[in-house]
Amino acid sequence: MIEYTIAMVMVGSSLVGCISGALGGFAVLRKQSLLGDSISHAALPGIAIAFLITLTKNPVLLMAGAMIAGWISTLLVMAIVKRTIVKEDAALGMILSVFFGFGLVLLTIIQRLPTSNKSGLNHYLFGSAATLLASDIKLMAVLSVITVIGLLLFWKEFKILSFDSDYAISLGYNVNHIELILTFLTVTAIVIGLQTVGVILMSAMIIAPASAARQWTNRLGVMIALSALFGAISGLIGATISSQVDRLPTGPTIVLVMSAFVAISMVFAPAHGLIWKRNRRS
Amino acid sequence: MNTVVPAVSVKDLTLAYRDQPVLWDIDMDVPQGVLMAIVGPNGAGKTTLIKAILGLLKPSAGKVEILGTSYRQNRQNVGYVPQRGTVDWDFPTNALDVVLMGRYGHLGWFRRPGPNDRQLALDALDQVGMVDFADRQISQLSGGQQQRIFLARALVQDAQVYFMDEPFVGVDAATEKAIVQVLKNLRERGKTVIVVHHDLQTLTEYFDWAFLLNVKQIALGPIETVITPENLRAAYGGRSALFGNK
Amino acid sequence: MKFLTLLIVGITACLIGCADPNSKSGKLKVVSTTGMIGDIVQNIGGTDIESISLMGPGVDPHLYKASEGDVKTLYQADIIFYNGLHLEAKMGEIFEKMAGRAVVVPVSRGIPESDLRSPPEFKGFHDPHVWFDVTLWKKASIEVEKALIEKDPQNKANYATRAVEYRKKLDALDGQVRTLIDTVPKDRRVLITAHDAFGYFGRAYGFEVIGLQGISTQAEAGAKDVQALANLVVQRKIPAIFVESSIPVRTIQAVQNAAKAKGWNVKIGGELFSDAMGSKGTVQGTYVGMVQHNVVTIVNALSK
Repeated sequence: MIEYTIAMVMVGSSLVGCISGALGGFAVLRKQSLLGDSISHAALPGIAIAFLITLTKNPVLLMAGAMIAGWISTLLVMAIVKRTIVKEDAALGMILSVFFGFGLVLLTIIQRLPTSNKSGLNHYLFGSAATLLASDIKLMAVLSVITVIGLLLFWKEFKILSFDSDYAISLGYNVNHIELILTFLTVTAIVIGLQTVGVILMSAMIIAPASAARQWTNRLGVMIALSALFGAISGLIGATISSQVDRLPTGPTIVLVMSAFVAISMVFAPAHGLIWKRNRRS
Repeated sequence: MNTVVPAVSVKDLTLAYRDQPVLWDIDMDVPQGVLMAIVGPNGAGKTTLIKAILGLLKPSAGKVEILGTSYRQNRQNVGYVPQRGTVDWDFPTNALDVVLMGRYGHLGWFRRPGPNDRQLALDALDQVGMVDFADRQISQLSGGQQQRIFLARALVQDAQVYFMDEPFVGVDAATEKAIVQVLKNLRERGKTVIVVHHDLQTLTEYFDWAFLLNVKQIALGPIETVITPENLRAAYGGRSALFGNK
Repeated sequence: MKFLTLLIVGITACLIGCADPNSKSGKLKVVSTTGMIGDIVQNIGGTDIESISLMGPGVDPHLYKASEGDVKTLYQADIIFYNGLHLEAKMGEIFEKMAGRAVVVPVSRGIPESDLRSPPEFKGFHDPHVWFDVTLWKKASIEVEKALIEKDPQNKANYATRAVEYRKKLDALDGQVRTLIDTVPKDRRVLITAHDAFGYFGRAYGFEVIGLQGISTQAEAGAKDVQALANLVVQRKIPAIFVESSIPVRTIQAVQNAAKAKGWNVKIGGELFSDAMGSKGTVQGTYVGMVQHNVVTIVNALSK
């Protein structure tokens, strides 16, 4: 019989791993791995402003703030890339630093406000998976369902957008709309994960499972499913390990497990793995 | 269908990129049923012209019509084969999947490709001689094979007008022959095929019409009238004569 | 060349002279870190000083990082009082830097080492939450009095008088606390909070004290810790656990939910002021008010 707290953490971590793995697959294929980093760092001022406006720590409101901020940051990156000579990686880096810096400034301001009850926003930096409440899990579950439905509904649109967006336009697709939907789902996935692993480590959750999964298959559907699976298992194992050891933070443990998946995949996977390649040569 | 309407009609098309003109005042009426090459030196704006016609780039001025109406209303009738280099061939998918993408236009947003679409895709692969490679991961294909499945993808759309961007670059001789045969078949069936072509040597052998340009248009029409020494000199020699030094 | 040197020396002299804060308002500028220290300072210093506290209500001193504005305030201070014992964990360097400019006093140095707690989980360091043993806080106030008198001997009489008054108040408070606590049956005297802030309270007034996060809030609570604490609550049938004003509610809520899942309906007994006092202008915004509020809340929740 699994204890209540540990059950909460395991379920929450698995959900986060699953959804961020699935959407990370597309981010990695589109060479937008930094996007996860940028959105999660950009979410910080959103959370801070949501707190400043409402002065409660209602997680729904804070997540809404995170989503809006993540959203705005992505739109800004797109605008910069379209209208200036700055390329995508530089734009992502710029927006990441500016928003995150702004978020830290807001946190400093908040820490001296004359209302009690306001600390805890710091927990969004590294996550506090151990204190996930049933209400948090419910919210995460709802958002996860939305994400999965979105993925299934728009599967072929995401596929063609990622592979050949010019061709998609020639077919009549409004590529901007597809991109908007994919970004919306990605932002949702990231926001789900913020409470568990925090702003700083969230990008690993987007990149690692997808990178591991890519090594094992050449089919998109399998890759995305594997990525979700790796993410979920990492979340589960990470949560379990950290719950057995005293004072081991959950977020970083999950990321370490994920990194192990990536390392193992890179070495051992057939067709793409290093050992396989070496054997083929000899 | 009205056979008098030009396949493609371009008026006053101008496109500038950061103050540099890339296309200048292009007027082009391409009749239906021709196999036309777009030729010119590097930087002449050939790829840009195709992209502007297809709505991939926004022109600074000018109008484009496909079969008498706007491109937007005619997308079902247009097939596009982009340059091979625009795509990452490490993407996890196989040849059949790529060709199936040509059916997405017919399917619309929420439907998935069904058995009928799969059959059409296999037929298209067969047309380009790639049906045995349907399951092959695209990164394992040679340049020529990749070009063929790109062509198959456009074929499966069963369009009226086809645009191709440098389909013969880096392909083996057998593939080149096979592709030219497919294009000629298309023309026999009354389709219009417009190809950005890089090799002046094979022009007269493959195509019946040509459009020669270098930012501004130089000549348009049947091959013999376009490919003349004066025209070639105007296109390929002394670029600075047109717009000053770059 | 000579003229230039004279000019530079002259300007520098002016700047040094102008930088002396004493010459401006005449009052001592005293900066304290926590509100509890600020409370001592205001009570003893009275109108003879200008008193500023850096950390307001709800602020967690374990995590507090000084801003540029804070550094400026500290720079202009004559005396800086801080808690010491690593309570202000992220400000250590600043105190070192300020030591040359101002008188920098860790008020806990007025407490002999034999009186300090050294919990085993905290490996060689002392528990810094000394203000919850009122008798120890009295000793800290002596440090404040000494420093004020040394820096400003003119007002010695005022400081001494006020200090005596203040210590009388603290004695009365100590007595009140003991009386109230006597109303809680001995087997109910278990205080469970978000972090180990109440060690001195427990030792002085006969309570068993258990915190979720340990001595400092810098460490994240692990799932194992949450579950272990919940198990303990269920096992010993603890009626109430407490949230703290400077720590997010969800940590204690997590313990409560875990206990509920095992069938034991533990209540949240109320909010305690642990590392910070209440809002300015309220009763709980003073040291005495804060301690009273805490004890009343604890006693009410546990004696049911």
